[in-house]
Amino acid sequence: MTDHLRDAELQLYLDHQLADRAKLDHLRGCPFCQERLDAYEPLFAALTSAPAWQPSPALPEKVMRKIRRDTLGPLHENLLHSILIIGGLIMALSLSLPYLRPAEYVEEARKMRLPEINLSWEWLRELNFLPRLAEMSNRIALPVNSILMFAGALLLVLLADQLITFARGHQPPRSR
Amino acid sequence: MEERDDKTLIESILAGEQGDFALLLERYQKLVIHLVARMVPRASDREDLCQEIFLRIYRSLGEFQYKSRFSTWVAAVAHNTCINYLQKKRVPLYQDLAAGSEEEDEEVRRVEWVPATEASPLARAEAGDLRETLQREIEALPLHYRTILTLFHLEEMNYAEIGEITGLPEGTVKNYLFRARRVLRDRLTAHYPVEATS
Repeated sequence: MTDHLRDAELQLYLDHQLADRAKLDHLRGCPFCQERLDAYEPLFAALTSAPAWQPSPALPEKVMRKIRRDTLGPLHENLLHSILIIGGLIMALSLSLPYLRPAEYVEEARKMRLPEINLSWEWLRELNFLPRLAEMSNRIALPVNSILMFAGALLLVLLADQLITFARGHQPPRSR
Repeated sequence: MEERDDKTLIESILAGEQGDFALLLERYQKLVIHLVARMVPRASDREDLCQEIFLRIYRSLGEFQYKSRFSTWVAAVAHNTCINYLQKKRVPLYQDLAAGSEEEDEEVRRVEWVPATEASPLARAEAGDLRETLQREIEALPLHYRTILTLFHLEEMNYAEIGEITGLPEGTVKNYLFRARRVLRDRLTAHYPVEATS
């Protein structure tokens, strides 16, 4: 008598992977093995049925929206960022522009007889930069005030932008 | 219109045509959904996880080396993301089923056949009801068994591909698959009452 098929061999047969001819012949002629095979067949048929859970139909759109946002980068991520940047620039300009009076500066510089620029160590030492800067900023409205105001306002805007990005847990796209 | 293959789509996306990712997403949506549905017990977390998986696929598309089928790579990303999630949630990952069926197998090989007086209970079960009961029984299996059953029967992947995705040796994949199906057969047979045939 040929041995009956092992359980794993029956499963292999149902997976279409049993190649042993003697075993295949046995299976064809053996009612006992056929009976055991019959017990597996409904299970194998049912195993191809998908789980019932389905995501919302909007899943692809949600993913694509995130991808688009991902690609744009943090500063242009959405409307809020754009408003912050444009608003920040306007604020920075309106704060700094009143201080920008180049004609007055040139006149005051002439009166003060500021040294000519030659960018050497000696010149820098002679310039005695910081006390002179303090003195100048006390006496006249220099463009440096204007620049400092502009830079300060811009820094605040960038800081706010980064804080919002951080709070939202945004991750920039990996460079490829 | 002619359908573009995966390689063409990937190259196009990497060249900046991000809209083409929608086509890949549509193509592999079912694979990801099936894996997430079978691996993650909490239904309320599944949708977010699906989104995360697709974003990971998009972000690391440039790392795909074309050494395997793209579906295998997608499944590996989905599998790893689910494992990370389950680890964070402290869900036990490595439960097992009792192996011991080898001796029983040896006994069966020598048995003398007596015609059955009862029809197979699974063959009599109504198909829809059987599928529903089966889904419940699959959910009760340990994680590796659920994953392997899904990849083999729903995604039609072979042992080598499943091994690549799960990080298990091919032989282990095969053993787990056989063991899972045997356990399911036994549990389903126990679920349906045996009726004597006239």
